[in-house]
Amino acid sequence: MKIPIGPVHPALEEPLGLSFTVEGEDIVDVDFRCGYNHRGIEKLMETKDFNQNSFLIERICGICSYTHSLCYHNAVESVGEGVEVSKRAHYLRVITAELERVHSHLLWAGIAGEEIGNKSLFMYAWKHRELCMDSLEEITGNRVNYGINRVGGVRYDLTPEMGKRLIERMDKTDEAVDYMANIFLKDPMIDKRASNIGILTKKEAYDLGAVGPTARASGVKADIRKDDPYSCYNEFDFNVITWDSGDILARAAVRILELKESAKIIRQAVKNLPEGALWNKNWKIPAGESVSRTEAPRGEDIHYVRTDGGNKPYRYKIRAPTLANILSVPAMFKKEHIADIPIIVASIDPCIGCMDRVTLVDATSGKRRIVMMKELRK
Amino acid sequence: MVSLEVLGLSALIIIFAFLFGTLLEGIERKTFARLQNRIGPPILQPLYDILKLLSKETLVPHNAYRPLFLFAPYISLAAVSAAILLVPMGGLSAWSTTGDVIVLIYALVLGIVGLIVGASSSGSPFSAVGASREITLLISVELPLALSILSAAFLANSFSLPALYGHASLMLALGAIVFFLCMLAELTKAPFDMAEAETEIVEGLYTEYSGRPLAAFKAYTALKFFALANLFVVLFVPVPSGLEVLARVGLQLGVAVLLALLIALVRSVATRVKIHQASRFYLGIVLALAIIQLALVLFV
Repeated sequence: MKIPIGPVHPALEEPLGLSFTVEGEDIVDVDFRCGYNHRGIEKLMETKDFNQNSFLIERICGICSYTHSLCYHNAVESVGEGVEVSKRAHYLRVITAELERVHSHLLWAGIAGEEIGNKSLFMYAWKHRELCMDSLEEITGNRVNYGINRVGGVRYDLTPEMGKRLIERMDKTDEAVDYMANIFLKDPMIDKRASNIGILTKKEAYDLGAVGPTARASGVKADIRKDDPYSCYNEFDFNVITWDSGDILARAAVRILELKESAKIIRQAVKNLPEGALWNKNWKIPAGESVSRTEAPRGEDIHYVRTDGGNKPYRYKIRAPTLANILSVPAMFKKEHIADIPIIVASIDPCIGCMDRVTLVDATSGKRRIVMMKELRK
Repeated sequence: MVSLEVLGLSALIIIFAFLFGTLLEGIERKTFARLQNRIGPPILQPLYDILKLLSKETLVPHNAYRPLFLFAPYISLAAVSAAILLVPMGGLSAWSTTGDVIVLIYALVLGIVGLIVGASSSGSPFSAVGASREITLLISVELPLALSILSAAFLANSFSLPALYGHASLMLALGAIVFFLCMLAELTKAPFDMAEAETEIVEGLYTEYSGRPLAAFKAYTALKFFALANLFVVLFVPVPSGLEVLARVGLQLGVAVLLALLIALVRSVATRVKIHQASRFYLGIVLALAIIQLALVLFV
């Protein structure tokens, strides 16, 4: 029997088509389709100037919008000789990026609870996520697309009072995180649904190119913030969390414990916030190309930009973390049950809006083809 | 021949059971929401839902077996109505016979069978998975449930429900626990709501249902809630003798509300388990408890 999960299904927040072949409750085979959410943002960017793109790039995703913005600005600012950005601006970018990671991981914890039928956990996580959203709104004025970055710096400042309130809220969030870590790691019913399920071995994680928490939960110590520090990340003291079991519980544990590390970074950044200008007015992007990598909440985000000396990018390419992680999903499904489908898909924290950069257009007929998994693997 | 008064009274009882059943669901949902820091729906929301569904269009999928798909909800509704009439209210039942414990067990099963038949004939793969889970759950739950009911019957030395009324003692504590655990599965409440898990199989059994048939199933669930809660009182709650009939009915309804609160509490801390885990739970620990209870009643 074939069971369709998606493109429209209550377990998926975004359109992704999964087709499962099942025998009773056991999963025999799986295939997926992506491309439902392709919006042509890369092409659109070629028609807009660098300032307009600052705001367009955030529209890629509704959850990890800031990581794309950060990656874009790092890429554009490092073309050729580069644009000088003050340390204060970098610190403010780090604060926003880490706040985004906190809200994204809390959101994930809630969704994970919902997928395994624990609605109370969902409500609890999202209630405390609001504190983080309040902080983001106070600093940037927005809750989803923050619009704080501009080429050469940032647009808004963090006053000492705001910093104080931010730390107070982080303290409260930390308490909630401790409580949730306790639930995720000790609750026997969650253990039944999460441990030894959806296992991705370390070798598979390497071979399939998993990134971010998905890779770290399989024991791969990969974190762009440490491996290839950007935006002054080398000035902060934090740990890269890894877990060895590679199951759902490991991915939950890695994310929950990362919340504490993010809180640590935010505290350091607010405490040591250097003086300096927010924005470097005098910038010009020369002809050239650049690649930048950031650690999104979901993993490694890669942006490539090529410029021709004008005020627009000549070509822009985005590889969001979900595209790297989605290939690991079929490997996690082997020998699992129908009941595990939602939580396994959710465990990589898929962001389809980020991922769907690929829609193959057949050059001769001009017809759009939907990309099947086999082609993605090539 | 049944007199006209009995028929009229029975109809009234079923209507009352329906209203009170929706109220129980409403109380349960409200408590669940308050435990999660939510405001929650109005207590009458389940009733509103059913009334609204009555005026909605009924859609039948192309590959469904139409007659069975549309008829199945009424099998369940009829079966659970019969169960309601058998369970005594305040110790009184107009339809009591010498063996109504057995009839009651069958009536409860028949309701679930209606649900499974309807879901299987809808032609949806989600409903098919939901139906297979419901069958597995039925097989696992029915044995401990029947044993716990029979324990009460053996203790009172009668298979007639009115005779069981008020006979319960602490002796049946284990049976009461078993019955409550089975009640969670019978009402598909978390952690045993896998047959209609919405994030997995999109409400499973009810995926393709809409309009009046769905309203009938919702009414069935409400009536079943009422029937099981009342049955719990009849079997396991010691009623002080010398109470007026109205006081006894009040006690019965009060305990039903308490059960609804308890279910909300369990639901708010539970994570949905997988079907084979649930099956192992019921045919393991719960069945063992039920057998110990039966042995206690028979040999002590």
